[in-house]
Amino acid sequence: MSRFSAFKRVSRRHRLPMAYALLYEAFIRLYALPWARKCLKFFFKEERPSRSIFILGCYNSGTTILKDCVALHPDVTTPPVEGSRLTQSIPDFDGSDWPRGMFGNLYQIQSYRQLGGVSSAQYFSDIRPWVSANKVLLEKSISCSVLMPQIDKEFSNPKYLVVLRGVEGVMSGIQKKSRPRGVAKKILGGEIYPENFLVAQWDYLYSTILKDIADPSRVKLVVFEEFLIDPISELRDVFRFFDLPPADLSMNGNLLSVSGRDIEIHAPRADADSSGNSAAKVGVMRSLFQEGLGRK
Amino acid sequence: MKFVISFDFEMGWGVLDTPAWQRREALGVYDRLRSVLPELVTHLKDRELDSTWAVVANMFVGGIEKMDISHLPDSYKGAIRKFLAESKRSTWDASDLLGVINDQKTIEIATHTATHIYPSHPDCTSDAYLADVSSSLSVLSKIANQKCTSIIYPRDQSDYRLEVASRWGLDSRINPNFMEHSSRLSQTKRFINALSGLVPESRVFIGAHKEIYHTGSILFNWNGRNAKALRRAILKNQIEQVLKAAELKREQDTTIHIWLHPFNLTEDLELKEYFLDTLTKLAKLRDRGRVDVVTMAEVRKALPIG
Repeated sequence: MSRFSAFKRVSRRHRLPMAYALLYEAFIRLYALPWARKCLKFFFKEERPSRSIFILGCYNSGTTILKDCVALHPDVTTPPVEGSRLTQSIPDFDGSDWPRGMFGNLYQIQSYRQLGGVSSAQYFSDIRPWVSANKVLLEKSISCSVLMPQIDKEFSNPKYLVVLRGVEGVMSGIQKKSRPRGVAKKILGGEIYPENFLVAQWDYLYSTILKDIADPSRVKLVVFEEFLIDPISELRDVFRFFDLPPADLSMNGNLLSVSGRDIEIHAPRADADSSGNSAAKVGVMRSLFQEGLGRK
Repeated sequence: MKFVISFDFEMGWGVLDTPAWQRREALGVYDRLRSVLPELVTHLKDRELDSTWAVVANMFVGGIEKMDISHLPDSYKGAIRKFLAESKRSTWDASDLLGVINDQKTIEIATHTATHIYPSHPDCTSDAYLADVSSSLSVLSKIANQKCTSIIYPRDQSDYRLEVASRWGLDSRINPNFMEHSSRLSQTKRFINALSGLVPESRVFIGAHKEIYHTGSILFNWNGRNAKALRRAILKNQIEQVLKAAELKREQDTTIHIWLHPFNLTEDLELKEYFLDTLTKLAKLRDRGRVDVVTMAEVRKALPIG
């Protein structure tokens, strides 16, 4: 039963019938292996997208759902998983031991920010199965949240979609979905990520994004909690900001439809986000972030 | 490439409940420290090389009557009394050396606990251990010219690291084996790596209280009972390889953490000369922009964690 529901999840994620979805998933997993990618990528034509948009934010802040929603637009294309899994040009700071907890590797991150870089040539070469010449490429890897200066330097006029979510929701989601492993488990001394660690990570990721924004006119901010309240108008704003042609948007229950393609949007569990004065906190967060952007 | 050099400055305290201090004392190891340590510190100072010195705090209080050992288990307390009664003053007291390390801007003073109590001691409890760390911080706050922000755990046993981190947020150096399996296969792999001159990079992690953990890379010592010649050859090869990588600007984002006990340098003149020579080479590499040599505290300052 659990295996069947996992298969169903895969099918839902790829929006394909189960058999096709499983084949596609197998292809992605194979493609994620550097040696396999080296061979497989030559079956695909290498193209450059018309533009690149990077989604930034903390883990579990709604970056994936935003990516999936924006990717429904007919002019947008996106890799099926985080780009950092499909190319070595974007480092994966989680490693194997810190899933959704890259803050534990802060020293390596800071070293990389100082000495490392991203290569757009390698990136486009590696993710070529998902790049179309006339479409906008949407990339979502949490690593990108700490690599804005490197991306600015390497990509032509990149734009950013920053997804902001309150720390409580982020924390409860990470604690539910991910467990520290190996050395991370030893360092943190437990099976789950401690709250103060996750708060520090949230703080680090958003303050780094804010600090790294060189040109606020290329950055669109979406507050996840506000997106859940009115996904249609938020998405319309996003499409407008990124100069995408208007799309038909409608909402039927949990089903959001973008130009005839559907996606289910589930509101987070009440205990995650509605505790305290969540709405007020979100408002404060948004104004702090916008104030920070305004100062640039 | 970045280098961190840390010293475990403990004299006889590190082995107070074993006969090892008697053997070393008889060989004049601790007496010779009176000349070797100032020479080492001057060497570091002249080359403006930063280093972290983890000290057993009770080495600086000047006598058992001034030491707070009430928190310790009776067996360890007894061992301390016996050690202090039977050993020469130069084996346990370093008051005469305090000025040598305390007045240097390039030296970070860290704690190595107050009495070098270690978690695997049969009577050591969490409370006793934490009280010992607390006592060391209290001593250091009075005698050191800086705030202590790092700890190096005696015998590299970091069993109470979470409690230490939550109370004091101290950064620490941990054994490289901390993050690996202790299987025979892993040990063999490590040995083969060392034989081929590979040096494990120091991994630096952030814990739940924003404390920093540094894994050590090389123990700069070839003294020991067995296979001294082999150990010397391995260490020299490792140091040569790592300096070569730095010279060629390879692995620039790598950090190497070298650690040693100052008294080891008095056990073997060749080791002392080789260490001083390595420091000179590091300083030259630093001057040519190939490496940075920093303290554990400076690693923290470079991170955006307050």
